[in-house]
Amino acid sequence: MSQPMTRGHVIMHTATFLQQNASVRDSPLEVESSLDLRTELESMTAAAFYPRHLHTELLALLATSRGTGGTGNDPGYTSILRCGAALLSPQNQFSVLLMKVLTPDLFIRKLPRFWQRDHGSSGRCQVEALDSAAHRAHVRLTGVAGYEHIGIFWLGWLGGVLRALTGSAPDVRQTGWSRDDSGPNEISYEVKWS
Amino acid sequence: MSSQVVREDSGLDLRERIVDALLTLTEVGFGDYTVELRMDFKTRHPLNGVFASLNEMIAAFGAEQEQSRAFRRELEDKLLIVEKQRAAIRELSTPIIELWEGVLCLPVVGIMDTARSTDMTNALLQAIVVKKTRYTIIDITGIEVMDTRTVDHFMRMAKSIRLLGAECALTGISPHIAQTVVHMGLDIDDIVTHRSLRDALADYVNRRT
Repeated sequence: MSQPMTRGHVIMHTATFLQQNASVRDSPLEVESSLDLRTELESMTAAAFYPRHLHTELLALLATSRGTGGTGNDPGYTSILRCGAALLSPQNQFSVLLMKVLTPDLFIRKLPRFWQRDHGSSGRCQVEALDSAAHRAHVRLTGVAGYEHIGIFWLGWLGGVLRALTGSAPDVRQTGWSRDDSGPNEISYEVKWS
Repeated sequence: MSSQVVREDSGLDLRERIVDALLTLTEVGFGDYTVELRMDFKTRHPLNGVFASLNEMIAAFGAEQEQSRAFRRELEDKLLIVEKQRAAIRELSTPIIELWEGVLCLPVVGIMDTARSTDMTNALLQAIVVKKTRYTIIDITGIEVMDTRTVDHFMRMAKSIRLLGAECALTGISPHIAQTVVHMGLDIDDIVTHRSLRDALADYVNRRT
């Protein structure tokens, strides 16, 4: 069985976020990251797919680093949320256009396609229920065992896109991820937007 | 009422198709030219023409990218060859000859720079140790220019040789270089000099007998 992959642009985004936000004193990317990750990052391209563990390592660094914008009782958690939301920033002109054409409803329906774009056939995203009239949906990620903190990263991204599309904060709750089990095989999202 | 529903459905379908296309195009934006916009062949939708053109463009980008990769690979191969040739030239530019038992000669030709000097010193010191050399002759008949830096290179080389317990002699100093060295006030008193390689070898043999 081939190993799970993640697209370069997601990994590069997380690395850049970590580099730009972590305190200079910590510089986790230079000090704490593995040689494998540093070597891959040097020649990484946005389009290619890379082993998922590279992204997992970055998310773990983000969860434990200081100064990455984390707040409250669990700064690592909010750092990953912020990083996920920042993935929304336009990567190219097509992303800008896409945001102009998308509606919240269509965005939810296209979530499996977004997942497939960024992770290929590694893991799966399913929209199990979509009530367009009530602005509610139930989304499920499966096949993500060991992909630590992806649940929070995706939560941040999902919320960020919906906020940008509706102009107000959506209510997105996840079940599956916890501090004790940060890499479960399955994560569910209850999404409400106005 | 029903026609309005149809129009809305068509609008939704159109928007969805555009979203699908833009999603694919974001992948193109990342540099992935293996993707293709999905066309609906069942209907004669005007978007089919636009998507077909875009697909052609993506394919052209892909071909260009492949060609550029091939050029890059070719260039890397050539750079590898150049590097191998450079290494071979480096090897050839420091020929160390064993003239006699315990006597090594390093004929120096061309221009000395820091990198070459370092290579030469390394190779020579290595050979002195391996061949248990007692006497080393550095022949500079082929040296074109002698300046402070070049003299410094030889001084360091001679010092390193002496540290290994071998003697060092410099031969083949041309009249022009001799004049330059004196004119520039360079100090080569620490180095034993001989007019020619033959003289240096004769001196060594005489002292041994």
